[in-house]
Amino acid sequence: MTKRSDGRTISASPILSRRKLLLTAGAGLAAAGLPRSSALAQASAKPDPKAAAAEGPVVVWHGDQEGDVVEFLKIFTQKTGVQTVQQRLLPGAAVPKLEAEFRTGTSDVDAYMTSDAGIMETLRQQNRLVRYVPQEIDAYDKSYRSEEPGWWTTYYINAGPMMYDPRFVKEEEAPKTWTDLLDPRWSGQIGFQNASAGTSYAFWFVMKDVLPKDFFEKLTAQKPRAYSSSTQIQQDIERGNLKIGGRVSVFQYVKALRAKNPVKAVFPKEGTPSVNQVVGIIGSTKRPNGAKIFIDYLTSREGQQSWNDIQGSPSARADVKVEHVPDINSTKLLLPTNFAEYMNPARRREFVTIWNKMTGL
Amino acid sequence: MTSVAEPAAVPAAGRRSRQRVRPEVWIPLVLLTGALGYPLFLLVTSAFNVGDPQALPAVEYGIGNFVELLDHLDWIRNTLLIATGGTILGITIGIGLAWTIHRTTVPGRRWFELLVAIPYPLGPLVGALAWSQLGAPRDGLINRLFMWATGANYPLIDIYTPAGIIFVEAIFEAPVAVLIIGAAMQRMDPALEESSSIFGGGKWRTAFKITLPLMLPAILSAALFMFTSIMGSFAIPTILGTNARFFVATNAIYVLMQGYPPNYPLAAALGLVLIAFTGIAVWLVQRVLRGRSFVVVSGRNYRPRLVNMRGWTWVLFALVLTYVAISLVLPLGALLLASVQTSSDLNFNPALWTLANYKYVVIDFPTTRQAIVNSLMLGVGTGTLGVACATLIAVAVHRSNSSGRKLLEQVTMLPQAFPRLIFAFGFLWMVLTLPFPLYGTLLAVLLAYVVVFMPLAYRGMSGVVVQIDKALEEAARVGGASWGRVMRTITVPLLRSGILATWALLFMVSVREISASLFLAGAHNQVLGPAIFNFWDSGGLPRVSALAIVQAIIILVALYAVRRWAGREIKI
Repeated sequence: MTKRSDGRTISASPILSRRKLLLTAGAGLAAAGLPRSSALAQASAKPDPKAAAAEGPVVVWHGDQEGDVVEFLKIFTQKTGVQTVQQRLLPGAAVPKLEAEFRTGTSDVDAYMTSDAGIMETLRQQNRLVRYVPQEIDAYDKSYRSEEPGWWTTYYINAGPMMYDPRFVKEEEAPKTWTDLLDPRWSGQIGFQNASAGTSYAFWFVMKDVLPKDFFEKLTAQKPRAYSSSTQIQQDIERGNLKIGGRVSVFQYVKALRAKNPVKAVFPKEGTPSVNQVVGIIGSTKRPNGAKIFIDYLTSREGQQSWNDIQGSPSARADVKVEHVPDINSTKLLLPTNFAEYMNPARRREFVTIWNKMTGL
Repeated sequence: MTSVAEPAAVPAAGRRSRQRVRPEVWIPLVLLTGALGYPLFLLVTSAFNVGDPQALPAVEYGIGNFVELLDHLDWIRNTLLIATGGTILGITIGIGLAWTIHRTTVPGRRWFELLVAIPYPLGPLVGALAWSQLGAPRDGLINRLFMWATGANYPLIDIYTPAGIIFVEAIFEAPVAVLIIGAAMQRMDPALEESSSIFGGGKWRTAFKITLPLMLPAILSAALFMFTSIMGSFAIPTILGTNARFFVATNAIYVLMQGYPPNYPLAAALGLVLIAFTGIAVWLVQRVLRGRSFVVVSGRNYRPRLVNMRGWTWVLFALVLTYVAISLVLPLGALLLASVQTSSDLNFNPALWTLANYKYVVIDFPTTRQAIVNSLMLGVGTGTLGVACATLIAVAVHRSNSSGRKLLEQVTMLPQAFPRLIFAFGFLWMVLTLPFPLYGTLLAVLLAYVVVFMPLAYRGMSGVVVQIDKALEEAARVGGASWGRVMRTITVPLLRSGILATWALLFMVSVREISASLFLAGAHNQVLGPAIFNFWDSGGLPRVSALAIVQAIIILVALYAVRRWAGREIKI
């Protein structure tokens, strides 16, 4: 990884020039066919903290638990001095908003954190990301970052086991495999996130090839219930209003353990559908220095420990361990790997139709 | 709400001057038409878009989206079911409460008048959150109490059902009916009731055969208001219906627009169907009232005799008290209890309660802190701008000789027919395409609020404007006072109580608003409604309850302050 250290103070005008330069470089180098080393050098240009302060608060979009993100951003600001504002938007809400903003030139988001790596890869292909190689990129396995490093990086792995509360579901009766969800006893008692969640898309995308062809048809007959967040699913499980969380983010399980709530997570033998939660910088960023500092911190060992401690999630870094988090290395994770197919708009439309029908819309 | 009286016949000279449209009419007409017409145009084009679902404007047109709606008639059927059921129940509650409070000698009428009004400004979001904690089938407080008291292993109520949604809609919309029908009851000429008594009509018979039919315009107005509100209601069906696979138009639209890729055209088509149904409801009410005379409820001021219901008095008292309990005491109590918990599992041991959730939402969490400040600013802004615009429009409609006044009134009332979620959707598109930077600002939210609440503001101000004798202003004009001086020294002072009441109402409905701001609020312009909704989404029960209580406190403080400032002359 090439590093450049120029602690210059940059005035307003040069900041703009620099931004333009970075935008052009980040979005167009690969397409223009410039030498990889040159592109990498540009993408690895170290951010200027003073310029970041002058740029104003970094705008962060995410689909995570708002409280967790705010807690992390507070620590980030304390460590770096860079201010932030955040907005929680699941991929289904974020992307159309982003599209509309791109079309009208009103985009204001700098860093985008999403559960849908396919969307991020699509943005990259559309030249709508800035490439910036985080300083600790080498700590990430190739499967947890964009093929060409710096476009996007995984900031945690969102595994999605089934979940239940033994106070309301006997352990021996609880589903052990995904096909156990088709048992009539769970009719109307299975909860999933709705179609706006990237994790729902990933669940469908990876499971359709693993489970029997008619699985989703049969699951639809079970009348699962749609929730807009895994927090709501977890809450309803703990309140006894929902028997089975069909796919619940693993950090909800960890949060429940921390709160000493007796929930159980089931990692079926067929595999646990998972997604890379990825972060990247939007091409129209107005705060490139602040955004880069944010990416650097979030992907650093310290930032990863902090973020995953707060959320209770597994880090993509091997050197970060979080208490209560199940060992993902001993779990069969099913991650979307065929990105061309994963990004295919027709496939997404198919998913939305199936998922909406399944959840009663 | 009684129909607004038309001004006296215009003299011949006046008729001549009405040949042209004067600035006090065309300026607001153009502004309102632009603010409503452009979003509506975008909605219509999207509804007929059969090409790229995200294209704006559309390039391929057809009726495919409306045909697709035929596969989802359940959304429309459910919407009509909830709106009709909620309106019938709400109106029944409203008539009963209005009559008991305004026409009987039931004790505590003054307090009840205030207490039954509060649930409306508290709003459906608070109502839905509270009742999800009271009426959840397994751990709702009412069901827990029922199971504990009876030993039953089944719930008494399930709020996550169509009946539950109708119930919550009705109890939180009923105060509007009380306000509208109660106002008409207070102005009613008692002569007919007295005649009924003289000819041997009992109290119940007089109430059902004389009072109730005379209230028909007010009842229909209230029913129309409730029907349109419930048709466009978002928070209650979303919070109580979505997880139970129960979809009405609004939560279906929300999910359609949240999925990726979003289905804007189908959502827009559904929105247009919703607007069409609202239009049909308005037309039906006008048709029912057309050609019938209800003059006994307008004109001179009367003070109808209060009816002593003797043995029934305490029954009525208990019924009003029950309403206050289910619409105010229990919901706020449930939210208060949930707000001091450490998890979503409610604990009744005070030693384990905490105020940390309040500290979190008011001090520690920057988003809600910003949302509280922004909502307060928006409340003040919407109140001030809304009242100013509504006053000018009301004066133009009822005082001007310009032609186009009727059209101005109709356009002003038009947003009532637009479900706010749908309007916000179109308004967002409009803001995105404007040549100046309005997107993402608080000003965009403010403008949306002013437009969507204009019917409420106009209804409040026009009701006051028509009550003021025009002769007072004319005398001042004859005495040489300018228009501005007349407004400052005559009109505005006379409108004071109406202005205050309308301002307070706009402030409160803005602070509790969610549908219009859901799409317009962003990272830089967070407001309370969406912030509470987001907390409900991912923040957990204790914190969302604490934030809902904070919102309720803001609304109740505003209500208290305005009533204290203005005295009893205002009715909110």
